Amino acid sequence: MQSFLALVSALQEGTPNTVAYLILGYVIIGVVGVGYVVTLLWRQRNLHRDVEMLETLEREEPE
Amino acid sequence: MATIAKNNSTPVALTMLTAFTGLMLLIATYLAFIFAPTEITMGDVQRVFYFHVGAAWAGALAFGVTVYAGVRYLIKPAPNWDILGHSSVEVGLALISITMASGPIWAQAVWGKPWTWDPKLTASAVMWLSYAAYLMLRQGIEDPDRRARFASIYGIVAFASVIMTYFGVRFAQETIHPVIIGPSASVPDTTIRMTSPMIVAMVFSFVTFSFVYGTLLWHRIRLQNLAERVNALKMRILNREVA
Repeated sequence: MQSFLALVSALQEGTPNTVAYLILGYVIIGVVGVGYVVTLLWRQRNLHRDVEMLETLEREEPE
Repeated sequence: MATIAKNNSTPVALTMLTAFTGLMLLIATYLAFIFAPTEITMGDVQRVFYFHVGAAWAGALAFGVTVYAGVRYLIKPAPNWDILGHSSVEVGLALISITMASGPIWAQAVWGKPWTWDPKLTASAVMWLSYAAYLMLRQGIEDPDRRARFASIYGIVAFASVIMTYFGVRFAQETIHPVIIGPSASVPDTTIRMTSPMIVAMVFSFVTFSFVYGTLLWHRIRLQNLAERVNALKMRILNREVA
């Protein structure tokens, strides 16, 4: 058991420090994911404005 | 399936689904960052895989739904099938973009370079371009019926790139892309090369991204319905002006 733990410890000491890449990876995942959600919200807002404007136009009497 | 919406308010079910998906994402993040152990040879960057693979799975699911919608449209043309197929491609492309953007970060840490023309990576790039072209080509066709017919056929044919990316490259001997769940030509055994907590985090990520896809798809369909409503209003006003 002790030799097994020593092996694990030795392997962990050799584990590269890649935390910076981990953070960068999840930042990019967040940017792409949130970016897409923002485009959805932006398009939705614009379409709601269009609907309101067109409904107002429709209610008005034609000249 | 959703029809052309006249009510602007978000359905309670969609609000609840969105909140639930957000909660799932938080749990998936906890499992990826804290619950799953650090992989010994790659270090912490391996944790990128939980979202990278989850998004890849959900992207493939999205493109599969587009095939289904395309087949249904070709059997019996109805605008709702076209809306479903179109929306699914857009959401799928966003999910595959997550996979394509996060992969090079992992590759830079592990391979020392962000990209190689490995069969798996090349097939993924072809898949991404195929579906980006789907969205661009749709915009070039004005007649709605023609556009929907074209998009249905394209959506079915483009799925070949998904099959090539996820299954075809398993026959490639020379791929350096990791194969987590075997077998493949490069890794012939069927063992899953992950510890139990890693499997839990990965499976949870698969489920979470399925919910992310479903939630985004519902929002995207509602957006398309709103766009159809705008078009219908424009036509009504134009016709009234002409009359």
